[in-house]
Amino acid sequence: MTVTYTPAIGRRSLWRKSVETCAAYIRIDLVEERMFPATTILRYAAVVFPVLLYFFQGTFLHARDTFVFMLLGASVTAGFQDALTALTNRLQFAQERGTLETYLVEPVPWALIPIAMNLWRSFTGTVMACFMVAFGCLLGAHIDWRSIPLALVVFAVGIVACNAIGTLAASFIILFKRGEPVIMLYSLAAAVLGGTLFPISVLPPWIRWVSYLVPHSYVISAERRLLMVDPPAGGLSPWASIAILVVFCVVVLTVGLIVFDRSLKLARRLGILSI
Amino acid sequence: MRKGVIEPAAGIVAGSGSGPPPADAAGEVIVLSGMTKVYEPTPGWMRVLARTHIKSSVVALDGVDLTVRAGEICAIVGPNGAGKTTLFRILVGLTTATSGTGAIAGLDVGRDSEQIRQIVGWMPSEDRSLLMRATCRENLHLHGRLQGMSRAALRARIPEVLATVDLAGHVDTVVAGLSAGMKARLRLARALLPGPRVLILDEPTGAVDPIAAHGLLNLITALVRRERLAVLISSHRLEEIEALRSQALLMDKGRVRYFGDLDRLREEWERPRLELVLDSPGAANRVAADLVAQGVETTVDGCSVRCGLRTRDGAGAVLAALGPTIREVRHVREIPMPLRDLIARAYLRDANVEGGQT
Repeated sequence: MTVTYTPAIGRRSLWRKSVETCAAYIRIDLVEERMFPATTILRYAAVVFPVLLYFFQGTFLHARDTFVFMLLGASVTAGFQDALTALTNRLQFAQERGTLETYLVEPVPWALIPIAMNLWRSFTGTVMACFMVAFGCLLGAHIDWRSIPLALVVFAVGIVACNAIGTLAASFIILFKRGEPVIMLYSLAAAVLGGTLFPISVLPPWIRWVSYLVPHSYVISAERRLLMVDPPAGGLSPWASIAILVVFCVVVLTVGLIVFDRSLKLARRLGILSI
Repeated sequence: MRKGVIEPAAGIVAGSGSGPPPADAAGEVIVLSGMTKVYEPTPGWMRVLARTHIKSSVVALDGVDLTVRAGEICAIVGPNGAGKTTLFRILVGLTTATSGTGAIAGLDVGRDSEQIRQIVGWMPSEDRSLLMRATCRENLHLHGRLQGMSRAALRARIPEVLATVDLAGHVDTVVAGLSAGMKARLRLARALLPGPRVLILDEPTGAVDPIAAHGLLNLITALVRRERLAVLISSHRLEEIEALRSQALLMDKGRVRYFGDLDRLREEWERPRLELVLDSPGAANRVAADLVAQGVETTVDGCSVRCGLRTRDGAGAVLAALGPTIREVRHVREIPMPLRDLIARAYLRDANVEGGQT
């Protein structure tokens, strides 16, 4: 064996650390996509069926608008679900597998890890939602093509909001080793309260206020207003939804990162980071 | 810290007690003073959602003092549960000390953990820490980027560091396809990748065959000598630790039983045995009887008689005690005490001292 060596690396700014950390995790995600190529294909094949379900339901009810209405709600929910479950699954896998420790001993702020870990799947979640809408269009759904750029902006802000919630779920995993209960509870609640298949105006007032705390409801409502040729009456304007989502992101992401940092510190003190 | 001195009362080498000195003072890189770690059960509110892993407090480290200088290897030896891994985890920031101080290159292990992780290369004991479906290059690339190495630097550095650990031909091999020894070398490569000043190696040769382990340790020794790295290494293979010619920290139940070099440990504790080979079993029995009569502990096995020496240099005294029967001796051989027995003796002595005190 020969001996080669290089000097230690100098100090880095927080910005550089953030960029390099995100780049490193995205690269490894790309490697994983290549490792299991069939998984990606099957993930996209799976979402064809809910689209078909809503298409046939719309046909059965002789309501083409209902199909588009449900298609948009289901696409947003599926895209967000992909981003949300990916973070918790991956963090839990890393914790159980033993790779989390090797990530934690790298010289990067720990709060960056859940965000960097989920960047790629946030992107694939967006692609999945677009794929569902595109497939729906192939089946005859009519959407307003001019509004697509703004619809993507709304979706992107919604994805950030989901990541903020994901950070809270990550804290749960760090301390309690299981994230599914939180994500399952949130996902099922969001499907109902976010108005995936119906407008939240049909909810009784005493429960409707909870919908206003779920980012799904703002994104779904804005997407319907933007993309449907004949959107349902009432509800917030897309710009108002964006404004509320931005506030939601800032507040929940800040709280999520603080809680994640505190959870890591507690787990570190208790010695339960990897057990 | 006074190296090589056993403190009979607590079995812990006395520290300076004045906190960690600057990194470069006397070349001290790792300085621990009175480091204690007590694992507590999880708080009651957490048990609603997850069962606690321990029911009462566990003292994993109890007032550990340690100094490792640049260019030094310190081997940490101890049974399971001695506190070796906890010590390593505190140094790399995966857990915190309950009390005491610790510094690496002048950086506080509790407060400056992120900066410490920049200068410490950690090799965990388990293969699980590798991404099994990724290649060696992909594994190293991830960690290199997290360490802040540029893509260009990594392009040159990854083949170089893999060549260092004899994996030059496996740059693009998927990790799952490597043998246990190769995976160990890849973990070492990952620790070496950014050019750390401190190496923390948790049982680096645990899954490696003896010849590969020899090469691995030679490499570590050469790096230490050339780059003046400070190295902490834990191993259950005592012959390897002896071969490293390093400092040794003997731990048991979180306490330091001995800290110093192994030569001094031998000097203080070794009681070699003398083997006398005689003409016949009858002669061996006669010689043994003579020695026993003079208070020498002996065992007879065929034509050979083995006797325990009262002092380290007591071979002459035994031979002199033989008298005329010495003519029947064909061969004389001194059998050194295995390191395992030496360590057991040091542990036993401390246990007796503690038992006597309580």
